Amino acid sequence: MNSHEKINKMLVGLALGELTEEQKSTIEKHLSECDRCRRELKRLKALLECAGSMSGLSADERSCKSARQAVLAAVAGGEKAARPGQVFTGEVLWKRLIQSRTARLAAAAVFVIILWAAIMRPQGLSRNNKWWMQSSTAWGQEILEALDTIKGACCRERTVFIMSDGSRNTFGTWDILCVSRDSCRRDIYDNDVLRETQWYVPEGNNMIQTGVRFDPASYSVCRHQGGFGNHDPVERMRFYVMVLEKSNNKRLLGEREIEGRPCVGFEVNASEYGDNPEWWLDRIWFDIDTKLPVLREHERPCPQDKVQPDCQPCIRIQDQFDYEPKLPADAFVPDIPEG
Amino acid sequence: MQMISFRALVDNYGAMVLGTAVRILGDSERAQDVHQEVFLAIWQRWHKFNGQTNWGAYLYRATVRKAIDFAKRSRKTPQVERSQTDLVSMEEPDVPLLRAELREKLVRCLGKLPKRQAEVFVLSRIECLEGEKIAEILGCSHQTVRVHLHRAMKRLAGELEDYLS
Repeated sequence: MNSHEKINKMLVGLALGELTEEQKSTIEKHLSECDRCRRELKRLKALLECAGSMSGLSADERSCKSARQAVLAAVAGGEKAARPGQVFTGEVLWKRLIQSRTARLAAAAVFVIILWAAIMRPQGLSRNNKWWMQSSTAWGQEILEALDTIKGACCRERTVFIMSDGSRNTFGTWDILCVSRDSCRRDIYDNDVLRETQWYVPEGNNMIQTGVRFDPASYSVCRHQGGFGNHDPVERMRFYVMVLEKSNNKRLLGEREIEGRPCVGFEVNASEYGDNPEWWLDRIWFDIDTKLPVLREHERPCPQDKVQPDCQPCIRIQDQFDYEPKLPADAFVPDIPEG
Repeated sequence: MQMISFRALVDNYGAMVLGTAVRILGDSERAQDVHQEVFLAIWQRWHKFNGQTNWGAYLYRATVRKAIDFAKRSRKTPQVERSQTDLVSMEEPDVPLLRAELREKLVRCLGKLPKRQAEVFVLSRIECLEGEKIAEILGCSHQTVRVHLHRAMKRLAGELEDYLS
């Protein structure tokens, strides 16, 4: 085992703070010369930081109470009719149901509701139906299912800065993002000029990123392993739909026409996911007919009650969604110029 | 008699089970599902427990396994890799999302580790338990715990390379 391998094996110990001063100084000397070990140590520390951020979470009293009640109720339901182990058999549940007057009444009420829903169904499916007024669990699932059927999509992504006088200044660099089932492409523009194209194409088990960047009178090419991940607009929309579906604090923004389509929008605080401050906002607008997202705005205003001199309010906007776009056959094939 | 004992078990350890599940899964809803499944699995085999069970240790192990299993079964969430040639500085707004997603990725990667390594990592780094306590829970030596933790970290850092860099 050479010295690099020996020291590499000690990196976990260093990240965990288990080493002696002597061992630390030996490793630090090696780290100053070895980029690979430096990167690995950085990753180990980031891993510990991530796990550490999870350790701060705790269950609130209400959840504890509700979880306790759920378990005891389920068990109590079976105890009178069965021994432990039989508690969830259909037979036991059915016996409980027909023996209980309340359960019989509840079953009758459910039957009436189902009947009523069946009668109202034709109207429910019409354009006039405000599906977004129903349970978010129902429409959230429908939107996710609609997104699951998408084989390809393109959209524009840009950033708008909000100036101190309230005017808006669109940042000159913007992207066109396209995804297919397994490949992705990102065209980065500086104003109207294509500056760079990145392709993300699977090769074996890996995703290979190829980028061609055009500079005045020259271009550069790079190719390495790397995923499209965070840029995938369909995956991002799936995430935001899941956030909306679960959120109890989303706000209905109402109806409005976007890009010629009738749409309905919701706003949710970004603090609903991750560790974001509560003044960050996400607004997502859905086509009323197709239920597919057509616009997403991620707004980062400055906090009103705190002074942040360097704060620059901005909005990240994804719009011009084109689902199942007609792209050239080679749209996801890296196109490297000759010469 | 069985019911009274079982109720006491839920009362004594319910908060611990739920807390561990919340820390692993990051949300109360799925944590409550884990809580329910852990305790109902015990209830279904209640007659097989002989009164010698170390419930604290048993429930820690069961909760960690069940929560990791839940994370593996969860629907697909956005990936968070970023292109290394990404020169556009406008990535900043999504950083907190990245952090939340990293946690989800980490838990899913735990599902790829050998069971013991995953348990040790969770108990040590997420539950913040001392090595001796973990050794007691898992019924192994302190040194074995240390070896599992080192291997788990190496493996996780490798699996999550694209996300931790």
